[in-house]
Amino acid sequence: MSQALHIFRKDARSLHVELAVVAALNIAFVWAHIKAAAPGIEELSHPSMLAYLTSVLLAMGWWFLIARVIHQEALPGDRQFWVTRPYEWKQLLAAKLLFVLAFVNAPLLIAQIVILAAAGYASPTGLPRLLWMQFTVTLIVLAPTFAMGAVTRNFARLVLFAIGLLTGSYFLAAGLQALLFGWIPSGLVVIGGELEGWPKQAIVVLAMLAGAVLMVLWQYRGRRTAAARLAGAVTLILIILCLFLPVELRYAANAWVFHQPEARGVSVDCRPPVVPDRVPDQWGVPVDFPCTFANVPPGKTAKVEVAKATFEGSSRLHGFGLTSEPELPSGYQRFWLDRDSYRRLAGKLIAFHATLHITLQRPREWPLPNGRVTALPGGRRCTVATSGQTHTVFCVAPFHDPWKNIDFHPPDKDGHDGAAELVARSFSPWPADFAFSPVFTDNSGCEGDCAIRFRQEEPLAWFRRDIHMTVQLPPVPKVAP
Amino acid sequence: MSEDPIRISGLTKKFRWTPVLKGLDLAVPRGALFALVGPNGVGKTTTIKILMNILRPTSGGAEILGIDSHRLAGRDFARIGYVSENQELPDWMTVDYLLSYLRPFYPAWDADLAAQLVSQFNLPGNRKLKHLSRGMRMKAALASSLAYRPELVVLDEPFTGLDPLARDEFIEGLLERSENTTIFISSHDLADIETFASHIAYLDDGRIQFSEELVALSDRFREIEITFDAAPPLPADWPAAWLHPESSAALIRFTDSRYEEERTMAEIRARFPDARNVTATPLPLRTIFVTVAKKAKRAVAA
Repeated sequence: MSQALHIFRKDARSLHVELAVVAALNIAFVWAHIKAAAPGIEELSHPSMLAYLTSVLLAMGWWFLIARVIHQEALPGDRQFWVTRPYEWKQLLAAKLLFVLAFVNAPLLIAQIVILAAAGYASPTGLPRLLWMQFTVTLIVLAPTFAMGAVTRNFARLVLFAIGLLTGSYFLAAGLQALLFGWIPSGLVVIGGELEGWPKQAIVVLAMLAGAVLMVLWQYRGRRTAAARLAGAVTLILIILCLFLPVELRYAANAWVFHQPEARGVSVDCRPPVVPDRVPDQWGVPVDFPCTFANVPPGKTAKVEVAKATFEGSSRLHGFGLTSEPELPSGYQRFWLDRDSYRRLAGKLIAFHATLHITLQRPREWPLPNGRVTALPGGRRCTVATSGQTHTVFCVAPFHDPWKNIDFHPPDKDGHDGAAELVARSFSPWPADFAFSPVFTDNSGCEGDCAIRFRQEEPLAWFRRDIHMTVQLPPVPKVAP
Repeated sequence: MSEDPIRISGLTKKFRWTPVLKGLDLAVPRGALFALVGPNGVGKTTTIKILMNILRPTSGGAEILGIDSHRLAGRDFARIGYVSENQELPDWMTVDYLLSYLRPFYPAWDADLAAQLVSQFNLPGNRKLKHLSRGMRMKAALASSLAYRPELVVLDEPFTGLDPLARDEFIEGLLERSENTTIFISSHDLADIETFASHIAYLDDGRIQFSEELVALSDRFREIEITFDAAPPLPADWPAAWLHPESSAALIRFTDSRYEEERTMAEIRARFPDARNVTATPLPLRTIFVTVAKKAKRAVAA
């Protein structure tokens, strides 16, 4: 029997209590997710807290189990009995990886297959997506835990190390954000939407993987704890820097993936901005440019995914704005400017430059009738139930969120009813979204005279348009109570 | 197979800015029962951890069984047994499971010998290590380190905290199986090792102060007492090997650290022609070390 198997057996014997607990959590996870995917009609409006809770507990169980198995032969320190025994480092590492594979990945895969089958999505074609989910869970949850386990002596130190890294990352990210942008409304790093963010997500995840692999190999090969910890810190810094990658680099990837000649003729025409009389205190000042699209091919729509703008005055102060609001083509494009900058620029003639990153897409819509299950593209199933004036929609989908965002349309003056539009994209860069369960559920609703629709947008082209104009910002608006 | 199992040359180790080892040189001959002694905190454990590739040296190096210590890994340890006072054992294992777990790691593992050691040490096979006394744990560690007949056994302060009975059993078990094995043992307590060590090295102030066979060491140290009718003043050409001289009205006493009967007596007669009587008394090992330690401290102070 190879040394790896021998160590694996020893670990399984040593950690049988922990393994039993994680197995129980796995069963609870399966049960809760099967239940969450098929709620009773009265449960449609309540998200399953139990499913969420079991996911969190399962992840905690994995962290503990991985830490415990690695710490059976802890790498830092100079008192462990095993360091002067004939352990081969490759065999030891293989034993630990085998343990994770056998007691974390394999049970999760089985759990996912059971959840998928129970939701009516059992199909061999789903296997590659399930393997992708295993890959992402390993990459995002298990590999960092493994790497942190390799540079710590016990679970308490692992938790402290993780807290230290997260705290350091937050302050580094916040500091960089303040340095680069000066101001962002939410106070958090803006990562961007799925379509815009996938190149960055890929880089971040690959950096995480590279860092974790480096730390683990360094430790198992030569027990270079200080160097491995440093590698972890450097990886984290690189990941944070990745979050601040120039948007142009990321958008170039999208423009390469989505390239369609018919987008060439699409243009954007914007007029001088308007500013509300009163604005909320905490959000800076919204500056709305009435804009329209021209030459959009029939049957297709254009949508601003991300917009970035610079306001230049005599003092060359910059504002920075992001929007994902779908008001174009007949609405306006909104930018946010921090209050101090606005105060300095108001009333002056200033140069305004904006770059709009736009998708050309083909939309399709499905009504969701009340009281029955509607089958939708991508395996989605949606149920609408009405109780009094309240309309509730519940959707279930394999491998991806049933929808990405909801647009609420209020009733208009012409007597048209309001609507809640569940918007999804036909394209996802990833075979499956990141989650533990392959069955995704979501619910929403609206009140009164309101129809619920499902809208799928198929991205056809990604392109940019630049706007240059001289503007005069209106006086500083009052703070809304 | 004639080369020394342990060779250390110019070994230095600093912990941050604090030097612990300052150019340590040492050779342990094959088959020796070699004791590294010295006060607490002088670097005995650090030396052993460098030998075992648990710590890395700042400079210099060491060879274990012909292998650079910093390359010592994996199967090399199948030829070495290591037991340390502060070693963390897998507490959840029973004694029997520890031995059966370690067995596949060692091609030369002798199951009969392991059983014999368990029996000799009175180890309760089905009891978990965490439920054993310190002495029992050390004996379990030793049993697990002797069962494959290692070429080299390295023991770091193995007797600390052991009661006399456990210590004797430990030593007995060790000595009975020391044939064809080199044993390197560190201790701060001479009484632990003077009864069985064949070689001894004294580590102090980051360096080996001396290293030699125990018999030779005992032979070359003598307490010399010279009686006079009236003791003369100490001569100006006092030999450096005559340590800690004391003088009273009719007596001069010192420790000769290079005693050879004929030569020493001739030197005494040359310096003290009026001596009435000269006696040379062998010294216990403890006194030899105290003498050497005092000399080293004076040298450092000077």
